[in-house]
Amino acid sequence: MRSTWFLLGGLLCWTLSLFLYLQPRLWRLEWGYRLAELHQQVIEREEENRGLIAQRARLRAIRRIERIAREELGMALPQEGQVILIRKKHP
Amino acid sequence: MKPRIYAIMLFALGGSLLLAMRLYALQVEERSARSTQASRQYGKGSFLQGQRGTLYDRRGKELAVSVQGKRVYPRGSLASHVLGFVGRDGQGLEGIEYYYDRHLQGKGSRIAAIRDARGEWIYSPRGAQEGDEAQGKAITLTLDEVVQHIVEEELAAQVVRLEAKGGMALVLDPFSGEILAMAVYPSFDPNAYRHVKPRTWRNRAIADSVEPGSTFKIIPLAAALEEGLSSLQEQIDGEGGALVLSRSITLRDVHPHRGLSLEGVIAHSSNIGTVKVSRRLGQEKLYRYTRLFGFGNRTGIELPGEAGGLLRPPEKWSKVSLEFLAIGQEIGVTPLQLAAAYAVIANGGLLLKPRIVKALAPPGSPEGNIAPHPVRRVLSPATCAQLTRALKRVVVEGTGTRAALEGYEAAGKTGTAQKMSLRPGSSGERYVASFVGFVPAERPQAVILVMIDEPRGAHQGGAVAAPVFREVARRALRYWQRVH
Repeated sequence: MRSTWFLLGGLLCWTLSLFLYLQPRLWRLEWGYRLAELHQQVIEREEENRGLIAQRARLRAIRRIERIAREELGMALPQEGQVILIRKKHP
Repeated sequence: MKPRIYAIMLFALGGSLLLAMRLYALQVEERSARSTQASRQYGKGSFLQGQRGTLYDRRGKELAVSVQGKRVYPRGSLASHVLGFVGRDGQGLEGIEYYYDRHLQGKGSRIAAIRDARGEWIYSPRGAQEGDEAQGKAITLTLDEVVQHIVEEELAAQVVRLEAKGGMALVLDPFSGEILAMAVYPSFDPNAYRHVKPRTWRNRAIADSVEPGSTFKIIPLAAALEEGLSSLQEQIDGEGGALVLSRSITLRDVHPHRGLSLEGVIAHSSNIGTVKVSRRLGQEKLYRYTRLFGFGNRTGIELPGEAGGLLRPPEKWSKVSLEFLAIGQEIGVTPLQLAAAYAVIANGGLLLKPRIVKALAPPGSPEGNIAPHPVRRVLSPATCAQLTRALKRVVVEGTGTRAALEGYEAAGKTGTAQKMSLRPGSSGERYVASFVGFVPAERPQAVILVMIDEPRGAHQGGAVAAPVFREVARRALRYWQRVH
């Protein structure tokens, strides 16, 4: 009877040791996949951000804005005489 | 039964022995080769290419951005000669992209990772092994997108209007040496740089040496004033419009004058008056002042391919070299050198190193700012004040009246240089028309230089380049009123 308990105890210890040995490795593997996935997402978001910055810069380009103002909105730069300069009087 | 058991045992033993030998061979003898093969197969460590740093203008507008490993210039051809471009392999090939390639280019980073059997990445918890230099660093330029746009637009319009070969224009802050705009026409789109001929990539504002002509006259006259050899009021005999320099060379003025004050000599760009005053300097002093103003040396601007200009030492001069140098011939200057020399007059006498990079960092960053770099004092403030007075007269009643703008006083000088013809039999009737000056004349905000290469029809600096100066000045001053 005693030997059966010893056998069961040994088996439990062995199973526990195996669990303690394997589980962190499994977690590490799992987190490794998750980390890789997140890293990929970071790269994608950064790329998207850079793409949006480039697009914003393209849309804000003064040449484009001026072209739209002139050609689509019919605006024109003020000519000489159309701007009156008012000088500040210094005390 | 016994022999059968022995046979099985022998077979098992033999098999185990073979297995052990194979294991020994794999684990011990071929260990290093196998482990290299394995790590190659696993792809241990993934290399991530660093992103190239962004280029900004002085107000934080993006001029070059990297997206998915590709360099994008969102503002098209704007400032293309300054920015340059990047080749297919991510190497900077021209302009700032080339000059600061190592700073802009990130070294990349290595990730501690392996691939599983399906080829999926598994990262080690140690994560990314990123160093400080993994990502490329940004650069803030001194250029202002709006001023650059104004300059490019006005320059292009005039070159097209006059069917000229090309043109160059610069806007410089005389008190810091910062270049606010640098334009060369024809320009190109750095997003598609291969669509134009390589000679179009050349930044002619710094790489070309041109004979300056009359814009250079201010140098010997400034020297004469500084040395006390003349004054603005001194009356100089105009020699009836013709001065014999040698048996075969007679110097003429376009508009003959009997006599002019030195101020009038500058205002009306008299060759004879300039030569007569310059002779008092002598070869050594004229050469020394020319060098002091920065001619004959590279300015040291942070751009590739800068020329130093052409200036021969006095021992190599002919008998008439002094006279020709005084009127801006027998010398080659880059447009940038000429603008920097006029900045000396505008700021009260200091030669500053022209700068195109404001900071080796993103805008607003406290680090990486590059401070103004005074090279030397060239003139006293009193001499500069006298020269400014004379240059104002150029615009009010001299050769540069078309540079005058409403509401502000401008100061500047016209120049018309005939181009030497290297092709035998060609007519030689080719000119470079220029205007360089500053606005407002008192407490100037900008030195503006305009050069039009080979205009058709009118070719005088006053008729061709001065109107571009006026339009750039008018629009830029209006812009600065809003933003300052």
